[in-house]
Amino acid sequence: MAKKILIVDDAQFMRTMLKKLVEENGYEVADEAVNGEEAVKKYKEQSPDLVTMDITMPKMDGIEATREIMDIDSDANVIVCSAMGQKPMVVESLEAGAKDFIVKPIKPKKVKEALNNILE
Amino acid sequence: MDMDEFQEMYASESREHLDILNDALLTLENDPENMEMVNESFRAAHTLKGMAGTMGFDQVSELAHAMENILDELRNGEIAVTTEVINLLFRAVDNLELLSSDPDQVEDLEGLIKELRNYTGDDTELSTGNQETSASSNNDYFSLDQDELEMVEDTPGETVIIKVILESDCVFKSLRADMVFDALEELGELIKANPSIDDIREEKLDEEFQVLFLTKESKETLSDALSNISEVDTIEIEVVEDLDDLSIQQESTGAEQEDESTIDGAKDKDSKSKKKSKTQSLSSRLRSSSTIKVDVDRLDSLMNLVAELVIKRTQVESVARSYDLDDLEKKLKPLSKVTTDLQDAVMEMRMVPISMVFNRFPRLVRDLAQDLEKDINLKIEGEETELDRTIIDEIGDPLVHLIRNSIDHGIEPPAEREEKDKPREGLVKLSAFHEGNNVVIQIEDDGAGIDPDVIEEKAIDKGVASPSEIENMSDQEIINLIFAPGFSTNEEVSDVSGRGVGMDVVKNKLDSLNGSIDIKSEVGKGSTFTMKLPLTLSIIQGFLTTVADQKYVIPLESIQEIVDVQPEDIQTIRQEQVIHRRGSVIPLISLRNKLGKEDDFEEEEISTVIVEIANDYYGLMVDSIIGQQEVVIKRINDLSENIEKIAGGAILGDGSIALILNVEEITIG
Repeated sequence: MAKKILIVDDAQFMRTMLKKLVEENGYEVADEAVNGEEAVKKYKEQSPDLVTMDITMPKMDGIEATREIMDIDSDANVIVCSAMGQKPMVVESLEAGAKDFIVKPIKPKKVKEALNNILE
Repeated sequence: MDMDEFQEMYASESREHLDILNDALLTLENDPENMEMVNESFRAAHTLKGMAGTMGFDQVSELAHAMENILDELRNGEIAVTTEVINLLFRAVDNLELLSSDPDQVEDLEGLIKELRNYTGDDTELSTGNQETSASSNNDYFSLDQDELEMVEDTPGETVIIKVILESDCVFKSLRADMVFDALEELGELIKANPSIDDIREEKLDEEFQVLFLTKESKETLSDALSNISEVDTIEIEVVEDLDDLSIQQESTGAEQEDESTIDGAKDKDSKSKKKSKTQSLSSRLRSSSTIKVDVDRLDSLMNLVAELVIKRTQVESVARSYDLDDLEKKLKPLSKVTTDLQDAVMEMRMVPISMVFNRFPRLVRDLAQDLEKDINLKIEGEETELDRTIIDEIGDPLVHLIRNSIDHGIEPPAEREEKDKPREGLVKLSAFHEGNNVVIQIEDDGAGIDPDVIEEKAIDKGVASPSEIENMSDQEIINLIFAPGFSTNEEVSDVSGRGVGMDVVKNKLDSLNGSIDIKSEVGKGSTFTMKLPLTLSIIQGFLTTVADQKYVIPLESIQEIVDVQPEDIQTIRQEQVIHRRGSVIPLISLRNKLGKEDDFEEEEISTVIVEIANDYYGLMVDSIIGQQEVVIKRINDLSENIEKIAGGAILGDGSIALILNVEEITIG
């Protein structure tokens, strides 16, 4: 069965793009969330194999959401999606337990690599 | 991956973020302490930057990035919210809009970006992470001091040099290096790195770095552990046979590390403010995950199909009626309910809140007020009122024109207002509400009002009306002259509401939408413009009448009542035929006459439809009245002689064609 991925980003544009990349690489999109709160909620419901987590989001940012998800499931696979210039936030996310990061503008090759490194 | 399919989504979503930026900056200007608005704008700029970057729209991305930096400093309290900075940000937003809509209009982008950067006091750095400082040492060898050398000698296991080459487009190389160090941690002892760990932490490295490592593990184990790290291109592991290969030197502390503390300070602040924003935000309106976006064209074609269905249903109904097929008629009733429901459902899908247009106005009013040095308080009511999408698209320009007029010509300068004992701040109220099958939009101001005497003079001057014509006009009729083609109340066409577009253009637009506009104005007190628009364009309720064997539909919304006029009730005043009804005098209009048909009424009674247009009543005399009917409007393209009197065509149940009357046009002159 294909591995399931939860996509978290407040921009529909990014979600759609990630979704396409996820599917192109033979994985399945478990669900999408538009902020950290929703991400945590959907993680509980779906227990996906991996989460792609945007950092800058309303309500709850990706760092806090990563923390909460790691509290729920210490084996959770979270990949944070950061922008250039967000290095401190990426560091914080990695400290919070994120396994990897990708940097926007996202490149299909990098997304593939990050997904495969964790899931294959 | 093919980016084209994302174009449209990018366009609509970036539009939304630009709207958020506009709204948030406006709110922020009035409430400079409102940090949530700063966060809001920051997020919008940030998201735009990321989206544009992914699409390869570098200019948008760079501009958004420059905005983001300013917003970040606003957030950190490093700069204050001033009109100057808000103006600068607004200019950036405008140019972001232009970059996607009308790139030719974009001002000097580089200059603007430079201005934005200067504002943050950051004119060197482009985007963080790209500063390639050459690695402090290009030396392939590790320079060990005495302690390190002893450690290497004393620790059991092999000494290896691990050479890691990162992918050249890797952004945060230091973080990848960190991940390498983390992965190695459990497998042995890290002695030294080249460039130094401190330099690596400061991104002072190229694609390649080397690690001197003590381990008991095999090469394969090490290589496996590292290959799972993203953006690591190649790993070379080499066992050091002879420790003498490692040149021993006094360790040099890099002088470049001085600014480290400041960077850390910024980091802390940054992450702290990140955690705060949890309050309800404007952008929450964007995220209802259970909605989908549908192309308006698709809705249009669905609408057309439903319209066809309505026509076909009426056709079957009319067959049932003419052959007295009671059973069929009974069966048709539920069908007709379903089609009506379906029609309503499709209509509803096309309905969008008028806030889509109204949202632009706070910004417009702000800019105008600033340009004209007036104080304006804009009040908006009823922005949730829904209207057909097609109409929404069309009313933007007329509304902009009317609002400009109110602010430019209506509201007086603050000093003048004070002289007149009015509050310094002028009020412009924009409201929308439903009224029957119409949506009413009002633009009200408490400005100078429209002086009929001034209009009169101008109208004569411009040749819009002759002095003798004006003599017979009421004040209201004179004011209505501003809708006449070629009329403009302002002598010198001002920058703001001039632009060669007159009120006649506004009126024409409303006519073409089956709507109407009228003015109420009191000198010294202000003016109110009232626009009436049909809820939807495509299907209207009307009364079917015949005039000289042709069927005409009179839209229900203008009809007051239907009466049979006896010839003896008709009086002639100033060569006009009128009837008295409920205390008012109603002029009669023969549609035969108006539509260029032979005018001979021989009947005893004349069927007359009383219509109300701009608070006046008129009686439209027709040959006969068939009854109320729902008709689907079809556009008529060929220009017949009566084209301005006809609003459109409709196909009736029996397949015949009826023309929809433009009642307003009929009652003029």
